[in-house]
Amino acid sequence: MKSVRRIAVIALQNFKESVRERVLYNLIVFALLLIGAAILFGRISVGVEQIILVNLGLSSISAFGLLMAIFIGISLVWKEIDRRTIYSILAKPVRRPEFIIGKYFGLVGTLLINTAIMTTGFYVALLYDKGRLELSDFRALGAVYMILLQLALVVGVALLFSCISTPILSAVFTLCVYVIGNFLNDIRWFGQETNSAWVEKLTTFLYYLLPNFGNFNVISRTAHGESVPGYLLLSNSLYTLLYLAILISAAILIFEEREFR
Amino acid sequence: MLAVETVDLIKDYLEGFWRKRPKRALEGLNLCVERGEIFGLLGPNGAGKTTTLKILLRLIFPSSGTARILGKDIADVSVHHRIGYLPEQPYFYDHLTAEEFLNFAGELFGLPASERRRRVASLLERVGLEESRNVPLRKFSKGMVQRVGIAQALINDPELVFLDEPMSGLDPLGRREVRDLILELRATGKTVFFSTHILSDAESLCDRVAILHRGRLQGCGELRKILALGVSSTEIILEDPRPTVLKELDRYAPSAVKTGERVRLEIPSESDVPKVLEIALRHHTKLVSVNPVKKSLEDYFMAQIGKKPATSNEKEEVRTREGRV
Amino acid sequence: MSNKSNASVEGRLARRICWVIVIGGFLSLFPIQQGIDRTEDAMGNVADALYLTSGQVLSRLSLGHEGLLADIYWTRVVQYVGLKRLSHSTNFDQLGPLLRLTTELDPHLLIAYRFGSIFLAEKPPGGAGQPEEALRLLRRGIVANPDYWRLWEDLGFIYYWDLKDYANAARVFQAGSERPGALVWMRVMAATVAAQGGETQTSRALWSEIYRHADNEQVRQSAIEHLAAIETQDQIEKLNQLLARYQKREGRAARSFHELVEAGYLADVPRDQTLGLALFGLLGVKAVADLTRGVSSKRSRYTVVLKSALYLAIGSLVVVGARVLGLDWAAELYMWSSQGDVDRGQYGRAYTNAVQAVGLRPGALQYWRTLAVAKLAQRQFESLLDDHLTFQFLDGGTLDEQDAYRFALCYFYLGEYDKALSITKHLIQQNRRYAAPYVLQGMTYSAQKKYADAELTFLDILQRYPTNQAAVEGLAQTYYLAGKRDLAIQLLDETAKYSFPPGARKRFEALKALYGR
Repeated sequence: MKSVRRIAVIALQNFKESVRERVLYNLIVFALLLIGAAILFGRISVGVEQIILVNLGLSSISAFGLLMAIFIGISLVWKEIDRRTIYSILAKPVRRPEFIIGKYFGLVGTLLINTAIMTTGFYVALLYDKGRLELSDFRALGAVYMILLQLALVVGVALLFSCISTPILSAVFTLCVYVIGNFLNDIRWFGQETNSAWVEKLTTFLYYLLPNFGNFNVISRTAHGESVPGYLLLSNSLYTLLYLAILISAAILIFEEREFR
Repeated sequence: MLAVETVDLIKDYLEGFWRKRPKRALEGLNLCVERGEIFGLLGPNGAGKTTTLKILLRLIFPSSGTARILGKDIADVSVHHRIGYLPEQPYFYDHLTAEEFLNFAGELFGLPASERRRRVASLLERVGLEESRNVPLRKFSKGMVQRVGIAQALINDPELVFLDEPMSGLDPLGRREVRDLILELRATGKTVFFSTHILSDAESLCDRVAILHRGRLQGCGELRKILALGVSSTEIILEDPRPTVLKELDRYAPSAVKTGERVRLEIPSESDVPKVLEIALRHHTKLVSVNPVKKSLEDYFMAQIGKKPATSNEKEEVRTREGRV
Repeated sequence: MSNKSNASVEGRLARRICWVIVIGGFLSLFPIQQGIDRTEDAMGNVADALYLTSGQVLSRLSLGHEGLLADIYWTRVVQYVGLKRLSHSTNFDQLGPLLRLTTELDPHLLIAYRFGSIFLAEKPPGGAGQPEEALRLLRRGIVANPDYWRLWEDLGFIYYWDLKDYANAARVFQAGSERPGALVWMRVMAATVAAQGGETQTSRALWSEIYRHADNEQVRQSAIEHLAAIETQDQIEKLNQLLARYQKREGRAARSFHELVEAGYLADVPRDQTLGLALFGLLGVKAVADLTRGVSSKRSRYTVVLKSALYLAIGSLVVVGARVLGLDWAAELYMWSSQGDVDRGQYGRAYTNAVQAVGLRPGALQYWRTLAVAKLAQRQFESLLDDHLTFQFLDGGTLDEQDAYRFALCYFYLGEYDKALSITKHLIQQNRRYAAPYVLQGMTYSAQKKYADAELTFLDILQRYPTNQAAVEGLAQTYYLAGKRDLAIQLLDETAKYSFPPGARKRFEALKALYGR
């Protein structure tokens, strides 16, 4: 129980720290501007206004969320080590896993707030465009939830890299994993097309090993008025939870061995 | 029960980018710190002082050997409830104010809110920061950050405090305050383990010191004894002695330094002193002073680290054993 | 010490838990991911939509970066086509509008016109099968880039290949050839297309052109092979004509090259050079061996050197000859590749390879047969029938039953049932154990709606070979067409008594289901 409390304290502290990052505000403002611009885009295209608005709005939330996740995630642990703030923390009765988990939840909290702000902006734009909101418009929340799952996973990847590497390298690695994770379907397809048993085995292995970010891409479906099936929400939640457990465990394994010279 | 005890502590760092080669930072350190004393870990930069402290606080791991804090193995993090630590050149979350940061530190110890409020206020006063309690840490000077660091090390009212170079970055007044604070801690029965490369601080504070050089313990013991051991010669200053006198005194004083009218004689053997005085008086030479020459910590320090490395392990062990007595 | 062990036990436990989570986690991800994949597959694809359909609006939105935007749109075109091909989709609805947008953004993006028109014009599944749309795109391109002759070339080819509109193709080739920098062969194209509407000469002109301008050895080689194939095609045609003329004048078919030479149709018999080469080698060796027979006792160094030199000379001549002629092997190789191509379904290549083989050894019947198989596969029935006389001639005046069967098949496909029947009847008469002609004959009767005759034919062969799948199917089909559905089903039911391969059973079941409906 004391452990949970310490995790909460560290998470809250990290949340406060992230929330005070000025870059975040700039990103949010930019995202809101883009969502606003979506209204404009909708106006000049005939027949697909809503589709564009939903597409662009959700894509903005996703893209800027990703930027934030990577931007804060990569410096999550590294900054503490670099600035030696971690010395006084670990000299207190804080276990290293508690520190890692606390840091993670702090950042996820930050992303939650930011996504909430952007989502509100999105609905304001939708309201402005349509004049009223219908119940069916809140189907988009399913997509927002998927975006959040995706961001949580990205933060997990960033956290893992942040335990090993400098922020710039971490950012590059995390982005790589994100991009590859989005193309996993194509990679596996490629493996099947090569007719080489080895390549196919390798790509299949990668397919199940790397985080499959393609799972969360439901934006265009949502834009066409489809709702995200419950089963997909459930299985993706489970997937994210499991993968996060793996990432955080791996981060802890690394961090436990880490020396602060 | 000892406050701190290390047994054959060895630390190797792996250096190099591709081919990592071990570089020894700590060579079989054996230390004992009694409860209730102020213990100073001395040594030049890079001697292994910070390495020792980081091993004790579990920030790095020993390559071999064991260490105990307050009777518990250092791997047992629960002992951190009872200790405080000020890192070298500390740096804290700079978006927080001093008060927020101390509060955060208190929360990590699981202190209840009322207790936290009380302690934060009293510690801020004690380190002289109550005026700047609501200023974000990024606006603090180095000395102020050092004070916050000391305050956070004391937030849990620890039995044992580790201070890594507590005086660095402080002005003379601040050093004085920290010195008083350390003495105050001893008065309330706490143990203070601090590292420094400033000998005067150690000389004026420590009950016992250990001297580290290149990862080896060069000497350890009570400061009083170390300094007393040093009374080794007597200094006699004469005014305008005749050359015949000097010639006569030559066999007792191998060194005679003339400055202006005065001549400074150093008499290595205490039994020769009356003879020298008798000769001087016989020739009616004016006697300016007679002083026993006391060795300073600095002399001792220089002598210890100037020593050639021990030729055999046996010798080393004898010396460290002496230190532990 | 107990403190220490407690602490390290705790640490080790934590580490173990982490490892279990990592490994167990990856194992459990597997079924979850599969579940997600299944759900997503079931949901299908989202409809394509092009949000902005006006190039002008887009151009304004690009804030002066029309070129960049055009490039991006061009990439989208390529991806669009690529994705459609990957998913074997034939719905290319967005291709035209995408290309229009791209070229409106940047009217000088030539690649978009050139390859875009190919994507548009090509028949599905390779392309959209919209040659008219391709014509519109290219015409816009020509208006925007009047001096670029390649667009005329592309336009010409769309008329020529896709629309078979030779008159317009020739006109366009002609107009394009007058543009600056246009290559000479545009004019040649215009001329050939106008004159013939796509015969071997156009093809030859094209391939020569390709050969001359090829910047890569493979392409050049391919051009050479195609040219050689065209050459052979011409020769085959000439030979066929020759044989036809001979038959007309002499009243009977020619039986050998010698007859043709004697009658003055051919200057010389085309020789099988390989045999000659071997003969030359053998005789030469024998001659050299005989050279010193009488004086073998005086085996001087001189004679040894001389004989060695002569052997060497003969050997080199044979080797050089074989390299120069090299025909036999090459023909054999072509034949093999052609047969492989047929097996793989690459009929075009099979045809080219077979033609090459025939070109190298026109006197060898097996290459002609390979060619016949390739032609059948390509459904070039008329062309195969043209070779009829050549087959007869090379086989010494008669036709092998397999060759005859192939010709019958051609007649059947061309709808000349009587000719097909006359061949099958002849074949059946000659060999009652050859099943294929029976089936063909039955099918021919069936096609002529002579169901009774068809039934008799099929029953005849089924008595001999009750497990001939084609015969069973043919008979069932005949019953069905004759309106005797129950008989057809009864027949298919009866097949259960005999042992058929599983593939055949499946087909029977399918047929039964079809007839039962």
